[in-house]
Amino acid sequence: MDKILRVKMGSKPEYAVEELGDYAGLGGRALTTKVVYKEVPPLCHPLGPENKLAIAPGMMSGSAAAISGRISVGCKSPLTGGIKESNAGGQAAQVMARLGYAAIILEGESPEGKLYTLVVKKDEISLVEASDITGLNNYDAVEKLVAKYGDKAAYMSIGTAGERKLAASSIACTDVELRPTRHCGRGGVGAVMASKGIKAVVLDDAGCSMRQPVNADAFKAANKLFVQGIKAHGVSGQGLPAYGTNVLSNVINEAGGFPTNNFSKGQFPNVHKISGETQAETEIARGGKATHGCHRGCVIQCSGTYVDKDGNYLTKQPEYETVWAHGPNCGIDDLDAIAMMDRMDDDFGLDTIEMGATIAVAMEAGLAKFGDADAAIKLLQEVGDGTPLGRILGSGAAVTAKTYGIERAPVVKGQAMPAYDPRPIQGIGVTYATTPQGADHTAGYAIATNILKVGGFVDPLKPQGQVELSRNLQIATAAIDSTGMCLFIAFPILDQPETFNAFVDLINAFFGLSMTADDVTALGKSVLTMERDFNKAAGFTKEDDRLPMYFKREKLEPHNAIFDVTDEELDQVFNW
Amino acid sequence: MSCIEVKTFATLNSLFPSVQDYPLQEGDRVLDIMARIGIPPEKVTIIFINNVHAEPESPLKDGDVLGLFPPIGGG
Repeated sequence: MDKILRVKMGSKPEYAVEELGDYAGLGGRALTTKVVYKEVPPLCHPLGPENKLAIAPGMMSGSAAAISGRISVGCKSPLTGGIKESNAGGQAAQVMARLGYAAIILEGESPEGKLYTLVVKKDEISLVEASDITGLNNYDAVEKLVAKYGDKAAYMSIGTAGERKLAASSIACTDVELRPTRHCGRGGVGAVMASKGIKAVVLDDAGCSMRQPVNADAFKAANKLFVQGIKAHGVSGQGLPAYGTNVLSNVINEAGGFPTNNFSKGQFPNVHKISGETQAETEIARGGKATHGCHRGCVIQCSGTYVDKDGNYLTKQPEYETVWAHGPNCGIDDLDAIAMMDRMDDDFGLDTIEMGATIAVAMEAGLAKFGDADAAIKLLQEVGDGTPLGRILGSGAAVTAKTYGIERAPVVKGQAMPAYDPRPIQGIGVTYATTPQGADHTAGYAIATNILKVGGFVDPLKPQGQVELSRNLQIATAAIDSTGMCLFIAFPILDQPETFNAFVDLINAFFGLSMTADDVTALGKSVLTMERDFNKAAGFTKEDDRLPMYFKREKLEPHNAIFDVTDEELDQVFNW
Repeated sequence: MSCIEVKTFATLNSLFPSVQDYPLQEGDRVLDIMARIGIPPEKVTIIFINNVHAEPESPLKDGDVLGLFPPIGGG
């Protein structure tokens, strides 16, 4: 990864391959954040020519390091108006890293609204007019691309939601089976890709080889210990492979923090119908798969394949967040309907969290009844059809709530909250409020310590200790997001010092460095500092680091909890 | 007779199914119930009593709902 591909769109699209310069040694979120921080004017319109879309595999991607296949996409977000980093699994990171690119930076704007396919091969780069796939959704577009460019490449694409520049639109990455199922989902990154005039990126690493470590023996030894640690931990070694991320439905429900009917209750009575246990059982009984990796080299295998009642492929195993968003948050207890909406989101190119939260707001507004799965599917179809209502819904929960005069929009910085209510789980509330990304659970996953007893225990019902917990997790996450490692390595790393050491040793052996734990922390802090500075220059103040006020006013059953971390405490999260 | 509901989840549930009315004895703590059912303590990392986190030593009373989880996570 010793070069950057810079694609300048305009009346005459052109590209240049550059040296790394200031970006040397960075990857993933650290790299996309630095590009946005250094090169994008904070006051620009997210869909204007001054914004840029940076795509970067992690520092360790394309190597033999286990579970290193995350790809980051960064830009100024059309959903939040702040900096955005959205990452996904799939094959793109590994392939792009082997091609040698630390980043692809898309800049300028679509010439005359035309869309192009960017094709990147070992010795050839081309921009091809995408008239053959323009107007297609992800599944059809990728099928055509595979027919043209082969089954050895990895593909990134936008669906019609991205083409319409909707603020909830995603960028799809193909999985091992060449399906567009792994999405850089959050923040409307698909709309930014469309505004640059790029419909798809083809990454073909034929003729390229795996990235080699500087210290091969030390790398091999550290990788072995790292994998052993991941497999030895109960969460990453047993729970996730057996049941997938949706294993969380029962425990979050039991904790009373499972947002139901647009965050109006903390428990869903029919949780057993949509739980990870039921989902895995259903998949296996129908001939699908309950254990499956989203990219080659994954040693956790938290995904799966969801098939319909006749055994035909419908979608990948919907994630916990998706099951919750389209399920209990809308009062829906039908796994098949939820899987159908997951398929539709992947196909149209939409963030499942934002869309589930938006449909719940629409239900509160009276557009459909809570629990009506058919009506929810029809609302989602409106987005795919691009109707005026569909465009409102595809703009996210905040816009939909404003359009229909609803106070209860569960958003921070315009981005919908994920599957944990911040009132009975106060640590995640601190993360939602303060992360520069807008409400995002992955930015500082306090659920681990508030609920799952990973990395210790901080009582979720009390405000004490939550700021420190969220701060430490946000710093660690910013660093992990830069390595290309799946965030689920955090479970063994937080509990097992020897696995954390193996993780640091692995990076050191690969690059010939001698980083310590303090250096990892410094990397995370530097990423967060750039993100905070960008947002500040874009107009954000500490008053944007707050939850909507109804989370401090309306008590949530069963704990009758309100969010009671004070504003003064929230302002201490980044006080290092 | 005093009873509690015992709910088990994930891998625990296939070995030790949930019980709606489990008899409670005087002075029972969570670890006593687990011992009588035969659940090895090391298999349980998350314990809830009436939706609030609890410990193996936490006492139980009539009508409590006990939730037991093995190590799980996601996100």
